[in-house]
Amino acid sequence: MPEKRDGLYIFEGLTQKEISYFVMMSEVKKFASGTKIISEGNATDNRAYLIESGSVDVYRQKVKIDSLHTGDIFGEMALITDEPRSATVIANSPVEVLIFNKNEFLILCKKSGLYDDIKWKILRRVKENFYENN
Amino acid sequence: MTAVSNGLYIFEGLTQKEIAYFIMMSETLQFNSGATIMSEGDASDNRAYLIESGSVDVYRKGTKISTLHAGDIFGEIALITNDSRSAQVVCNSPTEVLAFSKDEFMMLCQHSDTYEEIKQKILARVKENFYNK
Repeated sequence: MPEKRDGLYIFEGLTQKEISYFVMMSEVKKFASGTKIISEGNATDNRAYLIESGSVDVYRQKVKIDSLHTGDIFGEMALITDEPRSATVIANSPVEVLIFNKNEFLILCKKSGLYDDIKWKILRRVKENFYENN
Repeated sequence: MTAVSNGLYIFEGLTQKEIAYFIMMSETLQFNSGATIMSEGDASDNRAYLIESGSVDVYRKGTKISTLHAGDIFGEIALITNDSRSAQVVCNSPTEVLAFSKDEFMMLCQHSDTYEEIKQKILARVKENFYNK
């Protein structure tokens, strides 16, 4: 695991032990290169993905808008809304991810009183990094 | 506490779950403003400290050489050597730290085969941030 873990921005404000507990609870999953991890328009499964190793390409309306690497997060909108997936994500190398689910995330954030903060941070970041790439 | 903390550089090369496990094992300690966490010349207790909240001043031979904040680490040379403490660290606000022990750190690193790499990284960083000041 690399130097930069930008994806962990969603945890800002939580303590190291809270974050660690959440990471320990996450599911580790491996995908072969070329695997479609998320499909645009699909109903959400309310899970976000933190890349442990490898990289993925992000497509919107079949146009590649971004590549994400170790330490990046994707699908994090699903932690705060129930909207269908707004992009397709395909592994462009063998990829290992940690999967976080909305229910555990809500429990963690609400317990620490930071839910609204974190929600706005996610919305702002998704808007910045994603919608404005179009 | 910010999630992306500089102090976590010592864990580069380990997986998120390995790091998380290590943090879960750490001890949380609270200090009042003005408390001395370590004194220059003291025998090492082989622990490193990651600042969870608050800030500390670092002194060497009575001269302040640096101020560290949430997310920074100090005392990490104690994870790889048994040398006596080379600086004094005093809280300049109420401070909460996570204390990591050398034994657990070595177990973690040797288990994942990155010990030599991490050791060199700690030595390089300590040299850069500290002795050159």
